[in-house]
Amino acid sequence: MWGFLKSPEINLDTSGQVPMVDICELDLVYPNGHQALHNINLQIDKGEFVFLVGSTGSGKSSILKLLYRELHPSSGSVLVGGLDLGELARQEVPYLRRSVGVIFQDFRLLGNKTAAENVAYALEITGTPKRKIPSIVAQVLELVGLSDKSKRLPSELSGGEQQRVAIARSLVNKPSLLLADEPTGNLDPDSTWDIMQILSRVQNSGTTVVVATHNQQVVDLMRKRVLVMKRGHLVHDLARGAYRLDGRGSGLHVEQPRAPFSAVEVS
Amino acid sequence: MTSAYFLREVLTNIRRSPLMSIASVTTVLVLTLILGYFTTVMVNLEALANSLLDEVQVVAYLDDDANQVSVAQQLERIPGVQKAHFVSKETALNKLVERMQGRIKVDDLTRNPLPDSYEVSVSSADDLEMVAKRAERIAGVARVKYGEEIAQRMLRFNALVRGVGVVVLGLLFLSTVLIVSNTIRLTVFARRKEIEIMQMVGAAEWFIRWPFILEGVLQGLLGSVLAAVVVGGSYAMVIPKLTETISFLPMVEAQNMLPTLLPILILNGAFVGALGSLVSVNKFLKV
Repeated sequence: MWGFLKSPEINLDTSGQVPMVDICELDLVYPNGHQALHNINLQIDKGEFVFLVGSTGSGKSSILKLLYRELHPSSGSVLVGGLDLGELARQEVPYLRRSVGVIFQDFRLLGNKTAAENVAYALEITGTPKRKIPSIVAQVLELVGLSDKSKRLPSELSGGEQQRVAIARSLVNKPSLLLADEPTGNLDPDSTWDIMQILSRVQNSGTTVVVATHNQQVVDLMRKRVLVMKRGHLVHDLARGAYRLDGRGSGLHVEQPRAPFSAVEVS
Repeated sequence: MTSAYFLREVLTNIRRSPLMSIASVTTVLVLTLILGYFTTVMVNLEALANSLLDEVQVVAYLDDDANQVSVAQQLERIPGVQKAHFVSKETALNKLVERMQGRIKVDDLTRNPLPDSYEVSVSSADDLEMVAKRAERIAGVARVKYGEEIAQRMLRFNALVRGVGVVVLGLLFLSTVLIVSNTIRLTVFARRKEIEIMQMVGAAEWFIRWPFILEGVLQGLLGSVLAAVVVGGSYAMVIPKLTETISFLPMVEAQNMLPTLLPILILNGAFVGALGSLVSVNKFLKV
């Protein structure tokens, strides 16, 4: 309760000398005994764009939750920017989350605040001086292409626009790592591509991006590194461009090497 | 900027769920009323018991023609007697008049009906009976009065009052915290999505908690201040009337009771509100 007396500073190592994400021999067992993740070993470098794919219950979301410390590993270690999350004290978690942005399928916006207010909220609660907030908000909304709709309430925005507000909010504290859990799960194809383009731009600005999705088309077309999860195991770690699903999405083709992609190349 | 933020959050909360706020305030109000009245009764019972205990002594009433000096010497020779204090009939009458608060006047009496007496203080309540018996045999002593039974009963009664008081006050406190935490939990629950978002974007825990705690304190204060006004007002009104009707009961006067009781009630309300909020909001803050 007296946490305001001290504010632990969390500094992630963003020099690129250590991986942005370093998961080692990770097991995750839920209290009910269900083992959600088995011996995961995974490294993601600074500035990478990675897809986590797999069916529902394969453990994609669990990995993301471990990365923003919603879950603790049962054994093994999770390091983000060189910081061992297992050793993070409870009161330090908020400070980690200022460096790790998260977006969700359901956007999680505050319905009674406008787009700009939703974004400003993330700044207010992290103690940003009030006079600095409007300009930062305007910048981030510009980045996601919503400058003209900053005064709209979420209910007055389309799904894609709402997700863009959520992205703006997650970026406003300049995270080193952006996690997206099914960000396009509720969106039509056009909006999906909008979001993917924005996420690509985020990557280009130096932020590491991890997207969990089962939208195979997106993964197929984006041609990024792909991690395939199956029943809690990391079954494939495919380098950029080495992944393509068949038309029905029921199986996996691994083609290596592969001709330059001709269709919608986003980044 | 942050304190303004907290205040704004609190007001928004209250505006958004006025019914819940009313529920919390009413809960604190009712329970503080019970707490307040209960405490006044307890304090008065204890004061009564104490005043009765103080009066436990052997009183030897003298014949009109008794030799005061001789009686005093003999009384003080009885083992266990600490002191024999002479009370003249005039003093006794003055005391009575004082206690009756002007409803009898010395002038109304043609003669003083009270006898001279010795108030014999005894070192232990156990000696009372023996001292009384021996005092009765002294020449010049007309009658002896002592209140052993009352003393014992009072001692037991006092212990009981304290024991029951502590238990009841403890239960009252606990139930207030629980009820307030339950009503505040509903406002917290209504905002759980907001709390989740705050946690997700990295709000420190105290930052999330403070508006709710302030809200609890505010509701607690409001309820307990209202209750304090009612308890204080009614006590100040009722006690003089009670003292008037049953003058032999030593009541604790308003100016001796309220300056201590009311601040305690109000602080308790604020504390209970804060604690109730804390209990609720912590349930939603699990990381």
